[in-house]
Amino acid sequence: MSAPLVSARRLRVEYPGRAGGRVRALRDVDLDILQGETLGLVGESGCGKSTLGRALLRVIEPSAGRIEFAGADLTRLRGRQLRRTRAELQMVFQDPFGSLNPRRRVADIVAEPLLRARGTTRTEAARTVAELLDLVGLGAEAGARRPHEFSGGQRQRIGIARALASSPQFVVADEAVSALDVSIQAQVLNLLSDLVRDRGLTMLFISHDLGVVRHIADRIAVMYLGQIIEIASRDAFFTGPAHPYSRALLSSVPALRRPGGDPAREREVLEGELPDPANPPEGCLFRTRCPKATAECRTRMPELREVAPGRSVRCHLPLVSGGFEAEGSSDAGNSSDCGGSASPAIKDVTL
Amino acid sequence: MTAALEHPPVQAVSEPVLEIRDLRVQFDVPAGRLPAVDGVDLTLRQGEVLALVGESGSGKSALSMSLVGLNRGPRTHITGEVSFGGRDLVAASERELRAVRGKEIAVVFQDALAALNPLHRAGAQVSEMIRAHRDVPRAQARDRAVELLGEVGIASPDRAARSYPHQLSGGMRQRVMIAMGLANDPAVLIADEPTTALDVTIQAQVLAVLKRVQRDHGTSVLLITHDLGVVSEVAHRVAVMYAGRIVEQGLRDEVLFNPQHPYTMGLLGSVPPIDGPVLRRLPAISGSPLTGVERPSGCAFAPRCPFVHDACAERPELRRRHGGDGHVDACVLPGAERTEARTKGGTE
Repeated sequence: MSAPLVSARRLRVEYPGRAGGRVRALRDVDLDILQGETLGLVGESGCGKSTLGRALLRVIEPSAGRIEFAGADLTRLRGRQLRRTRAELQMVFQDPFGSLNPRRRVADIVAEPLLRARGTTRTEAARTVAELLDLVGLGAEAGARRPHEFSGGQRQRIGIARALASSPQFVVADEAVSALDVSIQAQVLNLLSDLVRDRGLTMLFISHDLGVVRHIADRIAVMYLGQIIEIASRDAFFTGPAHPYSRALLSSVPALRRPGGDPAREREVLEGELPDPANPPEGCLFRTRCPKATAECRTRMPELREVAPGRSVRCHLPLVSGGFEAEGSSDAGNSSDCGGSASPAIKDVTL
Repeated sequence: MTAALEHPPVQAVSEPVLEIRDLRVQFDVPAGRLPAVDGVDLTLRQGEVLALVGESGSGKSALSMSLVGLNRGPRTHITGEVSFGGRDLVAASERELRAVRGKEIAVVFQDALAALNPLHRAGAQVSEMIRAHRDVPRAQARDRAVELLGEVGIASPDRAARSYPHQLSGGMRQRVMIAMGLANDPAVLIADEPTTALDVTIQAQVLAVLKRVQRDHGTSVLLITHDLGVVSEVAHRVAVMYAGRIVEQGLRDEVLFNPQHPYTMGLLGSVPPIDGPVLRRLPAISGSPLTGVERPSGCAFAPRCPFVHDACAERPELRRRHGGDGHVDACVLPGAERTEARTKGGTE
């Protein structure tokens, strides 16, 4: 693994709330997305995962904080510079019905980001579009048709072709396969992972479906109430989540379990519901639902800190603590609230 | 709170509660008649949870809605027989069905926000459901409503009863729907994707409630879902639907861990698991489901099936071939080829 391609520093998004208050959709998020990796971003509705994906592309303007893309400060770009950089940053949306203009031909939809960003000629664009439609398995002749003539899975392929048209380096896929039936979802997932590999794409893959994320992502970040609460390599995360919320999330997934089952896999049903984001609890934001909360959790918000190489957790009592201190690694000094940005540890992530 | 994951006990063969025979549901669409349900036989037994699994357009919702006449209309043609308590619900009048719906057979929908009346308090909607079918005093119905809201795991049922639907979270609304479903202690509960719109931690809570009340009340549940994980958590038996037909049916663990039909195998292979080895590619099923009015005269899955032969041109019967007890499928593949199909899962 390599250097970060996209970094967020203290990224904040706020909305005006009731009674003049502010609702924080993103609470000072620090995150590094490494060149060539697929980072899976998981969490439940309202945790801020879509807001984070959109803020990274400046589809939503952050209220504070900084976004770096390939070393440039994306938050300061304006006008033409911003447009040019946007060609490098694309998004695949969840809704294959709502996100494609029904009145335009598929070829025009796919060509749009290409023509807007680069001043490509129409002939060049037509060739690229034909290649892309082939690449996503629709065939060049699909270009003459309109979105309503396609099924949900096919429309999602059109959305993917459009996202790739301007040869972006970074793609945010926001619940890109969630609306699809499982047999079609598997086809689109295979397509996405081929494209990521063949084109060396860096991807933020946002999903509520942990099985899907496990299939496609190299690393996993978990959000709760606008904060990142855990970052880990895929295997470390799925074999032993370190945050009590991650653990509950994983244990709540209704999964195929063999008769007799794995006795070690106890079902943990989390009590209560998400607190009102406009009126979050004091101290740790998860403590109201946490089975392990102590007095400290009620008063002091934990920082996102590294507990093992490449693994950061925002918890006073993480479920995984071994490894890091025991190794006496010199990287320990870098342990900080920047979590994912503690890049020295990243080299240890082997996937 | 932790609870050991219990697999529901396999039911001894119990009495049929609802028997569906050769049910066909056709919708008039611009292109002709869409055979949403294309000749289904299915039996729901006393006290069991029967999961009806399928993808969009497989006909699972059309089937469940037609059981209680919720999709009747000038453009819908329903034939066949649904026997329930000595009556045929397909032939029943709307008036007769109204007496059955909500009392003997209750329905819980996916979208509780759309199914609840936004202008009435949650408690009033539950007590209204009781009073629609039984002559009980208002105050008594109200008390029972609060009791039911408590039973479905709402922490402060008094307050929830006084709330309007928009003041409740998605998980709470779904619990209110289940409370309404249970209001008259129905023999049958049809639950159509009851947890699909919920986040996983809330889904786990609602599934636990559904399992508990099903067991406590001995309700027979027809669970409509696309989620094989949910099936694994709550069902006793499973029926898999494809293009309006049942292609496989059996005890849950038989169908999930010893699937016989190539569609069931493909469906199981398409779900990326949360443990075990990570495959580089998922064994996806190629092509798309049938959605048009034209259906092949033979096996409906044949156009997508990697194991298609000449024999697939005839419509296969649903019967026991290579599965265990009570495990039936509609595939003419010989045993050896099924083993191969299972190891390949499917192809893309």
